[in-house]
Amino acid sequence: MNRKKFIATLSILGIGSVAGYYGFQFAKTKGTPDLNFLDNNKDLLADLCETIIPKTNTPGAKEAMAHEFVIYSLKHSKEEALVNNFINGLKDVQSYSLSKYDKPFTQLAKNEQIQVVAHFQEIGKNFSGGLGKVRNKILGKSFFSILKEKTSVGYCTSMLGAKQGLAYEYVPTRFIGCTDLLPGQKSWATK
Amino acid sequence: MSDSLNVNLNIKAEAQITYDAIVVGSGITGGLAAKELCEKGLKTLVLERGRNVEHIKDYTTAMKHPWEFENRLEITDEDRTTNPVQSMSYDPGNKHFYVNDQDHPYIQQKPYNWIRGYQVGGRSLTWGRQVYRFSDLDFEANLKDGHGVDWPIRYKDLEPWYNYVEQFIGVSGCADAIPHLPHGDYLPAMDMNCIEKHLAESIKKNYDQRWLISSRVANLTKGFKDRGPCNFRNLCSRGCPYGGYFSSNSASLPAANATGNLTIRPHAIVQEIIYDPQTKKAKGVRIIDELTKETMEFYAKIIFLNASTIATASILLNSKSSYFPNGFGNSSGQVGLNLMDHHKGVGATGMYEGFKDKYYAGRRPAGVYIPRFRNLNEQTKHPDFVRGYGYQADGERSEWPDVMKDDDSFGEGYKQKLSTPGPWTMWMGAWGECLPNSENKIWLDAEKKDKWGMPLVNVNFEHGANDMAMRKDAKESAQEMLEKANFKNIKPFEFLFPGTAIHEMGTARMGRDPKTSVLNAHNQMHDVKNVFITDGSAMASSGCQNPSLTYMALTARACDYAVSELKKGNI
Repeated sequence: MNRKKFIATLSILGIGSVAGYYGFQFAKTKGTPDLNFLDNNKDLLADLCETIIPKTNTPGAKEAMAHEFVIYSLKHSKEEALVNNFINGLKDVQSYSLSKYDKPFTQLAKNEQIQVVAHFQEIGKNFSGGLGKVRNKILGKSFFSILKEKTSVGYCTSMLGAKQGLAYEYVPTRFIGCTDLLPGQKSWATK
Repeated sequence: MSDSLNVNLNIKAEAQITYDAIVVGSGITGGLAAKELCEKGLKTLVLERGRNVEHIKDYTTAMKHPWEFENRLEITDEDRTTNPVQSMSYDPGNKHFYVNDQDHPYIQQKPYNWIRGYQVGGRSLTWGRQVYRFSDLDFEANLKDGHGVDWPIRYKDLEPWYNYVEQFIGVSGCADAIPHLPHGDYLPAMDMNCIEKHLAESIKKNYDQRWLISSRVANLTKGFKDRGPCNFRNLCSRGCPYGGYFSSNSASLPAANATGNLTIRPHAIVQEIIYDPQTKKAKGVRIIDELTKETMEFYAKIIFLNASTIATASILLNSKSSYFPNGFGNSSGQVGLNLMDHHKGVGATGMYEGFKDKYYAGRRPAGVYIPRFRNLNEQTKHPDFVRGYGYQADGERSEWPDVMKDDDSFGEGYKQKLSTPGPWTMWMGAWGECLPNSENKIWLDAEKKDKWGMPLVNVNFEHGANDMAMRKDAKESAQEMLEKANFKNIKPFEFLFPGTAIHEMGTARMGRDPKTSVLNAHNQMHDVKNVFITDGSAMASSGCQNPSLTYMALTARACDYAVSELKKGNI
């Protein structure tokens, strides 16, 4: 739905029903985040991070300990809605995995884990366009976008991620403005 | 050298309280003033309000990898909450070179970010290192269009001092002959990458009197005076263990110290300048010890005020006496007025589809520069504004921080995208001249004080109509240049946070007339002949060039004059 359509829909449906839906969702973003849940579910988080950036011929997010950064970052966030969205998302992943596959996420096969994350990716983009922006503003970023963003930062700035997933030069000693890009050459880890 | 600096740290100041010269501030101009005065044989005391920072030893984060920072290189919400102003500029790698907003409050009448570094070396540790000379286009501007007061000097007065300073600090850059951006004798310029060369060629083909050049920057592409070379890590603002760029700490203070004439007194907050009505000169300064809050006095024959624009004006305004009821040397009433700061944060970005087989190696701590091209002459006159702006620009291939935002996949395909260089992109942002305006000003609060009992500074600053008209043009021109060079996905941007250029200047301006200016052509106070001010507060107009080089040239010139006057017995 684009922005114009959204505004049109709003005026047809009346603001009340949308506000009512958001009111319900909004309540879930409030309250002191259950930060212990992060520490108590490290394996779950590590597997989720690994699904975002899996091991290939280079280490994945789990080996690079990206989940430790995700936890640190969330524990030091003052954005209550963001942290609650994330923790609620973790809980939702657990219950979705159990209801769909009858197994916890950490025991699913790789392709099943991908299916679960894809499901939450879809929920994340539930409302595209203008309504998506409104949603983000009121409810905060979706679980999937927080997971993806923090996993990416955690991985790309980790030792394994930077040195093996990407190309890291500690002390370059020279600058060459124009080089030939070699086949398979990785992009630089730092700017 | 760092050890010997320690030897001369005058922590207790028990033995010696009288010097030939006092320099207030140890940043980019204070450090240079100290070097010049020491080399001319003056026993010089440098008063620095913050802690000592020893070259190399105190660059505690300089060699850290990204993964050695707990929150990596991202600031935290805690930073945003407790340091709302400084955190706009710092990251976890250089945060320790910025003040804490809680300890150093000020009053923003309108939003103005006053970004500071209170330590030996000041902001010369974290500066952007771009160094461009002013020309007569700048020195004559006030006279020609009537804004502000006429500069009492012209380019020819400053040219030898630009040469002198550049030969001390070390500048790498392009020596293209651009009439209104005079150049010096530089170390080799840093390379442009292929997208920057492409844009440079397109600009050359499509425009008259418009250039895109390698930036001129105080990073050393070759070893220079036992410093450097630059190792292309692009981590300058943490302090450089290789001495790869110019700072007070890496260059000026060691040179000053080598003379045996330097004493640095850290933790010395200057409360006021002491006036001697009998000699009609400044007798010395009174300081508050940052740690003990004790006050003490130091005396000297000449005083250089280099505390940085807003702080220098504040010291003058706080130095009231029956002789100077409105502040020291403020018979003109101009102290604190005419605050200027470049406007920035406007321009465009674009993506280019070619050069997919090209990349770069190393991290260049600089970019490219498009010097001012508006209002150079009749041909380039713009109907909507006077003066002009230059662009700092940078080309690069998309890398993980960009991919992360733009891509919506996950899994192996996403990982592949993260690790593969993406399309070439160009970023162009304008830095524009800010007109002098007496309504943009600072003053001391009558009631509120900081924890040292010093009155809080009020800042009232707003960009005027001329600045805003210039921004509109800067946004359009950037898009046009990118379009002509066949960039795609061109996106304009504009955000304005006054103060974030960190180029504040103008609050004790130079001028020809003591009634309308604070300093004469030699940065000497009209009212008090043994006080010199050579930081940004001396500026009569802002130009659009990064200003530190001009402050430094003014400093070296003023030191030369001051010592010669001292020797002649005139001060």
